[in-house]
Amino acid sequence: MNIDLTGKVAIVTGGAMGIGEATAKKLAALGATVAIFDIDRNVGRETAAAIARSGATCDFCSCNVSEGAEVSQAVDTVVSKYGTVDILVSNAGIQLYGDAVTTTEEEWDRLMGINLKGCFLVSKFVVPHMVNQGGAIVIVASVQSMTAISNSIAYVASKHGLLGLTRAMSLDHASKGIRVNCVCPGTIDTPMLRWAANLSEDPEKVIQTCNRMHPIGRIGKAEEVADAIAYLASPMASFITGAALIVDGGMLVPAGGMGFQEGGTGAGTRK
Amino acid sequence: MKLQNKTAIITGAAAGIGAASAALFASEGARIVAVDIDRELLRHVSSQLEKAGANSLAVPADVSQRSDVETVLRSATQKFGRIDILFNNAGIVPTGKLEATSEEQWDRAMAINVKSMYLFCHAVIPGMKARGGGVILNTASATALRAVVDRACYTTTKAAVIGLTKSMAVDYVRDNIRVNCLCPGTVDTPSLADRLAAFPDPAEARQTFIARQPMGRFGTAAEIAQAALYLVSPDSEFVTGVAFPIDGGLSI
Repeated sequence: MNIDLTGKVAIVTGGAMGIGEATAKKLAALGATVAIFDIDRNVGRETAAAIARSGATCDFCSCNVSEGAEVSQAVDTVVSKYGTVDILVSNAGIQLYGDAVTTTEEEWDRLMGINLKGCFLVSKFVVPHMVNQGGAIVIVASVQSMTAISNSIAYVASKHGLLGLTRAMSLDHASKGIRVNCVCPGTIDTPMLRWAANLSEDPEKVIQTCNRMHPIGRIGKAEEVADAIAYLASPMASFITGAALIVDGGMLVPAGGMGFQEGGTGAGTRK
Repeated sequence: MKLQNKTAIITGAAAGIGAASAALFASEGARIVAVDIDRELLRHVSSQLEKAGANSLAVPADVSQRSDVETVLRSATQKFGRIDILFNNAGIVPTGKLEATSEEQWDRAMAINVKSMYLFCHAVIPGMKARGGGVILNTASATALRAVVDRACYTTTKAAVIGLTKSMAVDYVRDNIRVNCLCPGTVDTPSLADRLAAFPDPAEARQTFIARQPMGRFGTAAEIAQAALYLVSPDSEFVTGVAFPIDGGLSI
């Protein structure tokens, strides 16, 4: 059951931090050559250097995924150096809060540009290199690809869009041996979550609330999502395409949420 | 009369599902604000509505442009005073696999199919909240539930519409604003005719499209309009946040 990705070339977008960083580390540890695409040069370079120090091959490409020219150039750099791309992990994303009224047009365009168009652009330039030998694309979607939380209109719409993109691409490229899947993480302990929690007056309370939302009783670790991504990217998942793998500690299971289960269904009083 | 004294904005109202919905909503007593980019077709639909005795207003607009959306709202509010129903129906169907999709096609489809809904909701919701409620209906697609080949960009936009729908449903449930979306399968509309015309043999393509329909036929715009009526009328008071498939079994 060991995954061996020796000789595979992988691109991880948003690979500087969080789930992307954990995924880059995981794929490298499994033998893949990894290219990290990220807009944050300083952190991205550091992450790539740390992975390279562990003995793996890991490069950093500065890239704003919402800009076609930058994506095209970054993909070309990887292909000219390593010959092809076998694995693409489309992970770059941002979170913004707001409802339909409070979200500005600029915020909407920025989030859609990174979360949704970014995934389109990277796929657009990578897929032509995969058609000869096949490949695996893993998109980092969200539990919010299936449900919604309040005050997150653009984020929820973008993550739902990624589920559609996953399914549509899986169908279009199945005959070329390119598998396209997504993971749908629940709340994961990443810099993005800490940023979001810090918007509140009591960040620790936010984390505690997040812990309680998951039947497992805690939020997830970036490494746990990276494990799921590595599985979908590997030959172990060779018959899986168009799938959405939920990695959420059971978060999507309870009807009405955990609060309702703990206090509100009345089931405990019934005989 | 299920929509007596209600004012409904319908985008993409000049043809297909939008035109059928405008006629049906009007026959149920609604005042209609018909919005479309095609002036000529819009004029035609508008005169049909008038002939049927409807109280209506036609506003030509590019739904992806904020200034146009603001113009629609201004004209609608001036004439009818309030908006009770928003039916975000305008959309285009870009075809092809992702590699064959240009960045320009992607941007245009995202703008018309998704951002337009954000722009209209952004403009309409404050008034709905102030008056104690309203109903929003968005047109998504059955392809957002089960994918079909050569619709990469289209499917992505329609899946985003479902996200937008659920998101707004939770955000405004306490404001008495219900938000739902329709997921139509292949419907016999001018938009479908355009797509068929792009094939070397449109008649043969039509037969191929019909062959993949579980019911052996396309849906009609009138059938989709009936579902739209249910979702904007008080009959569906307890329904919010749903993606309602109406596709002859395509997504099963």
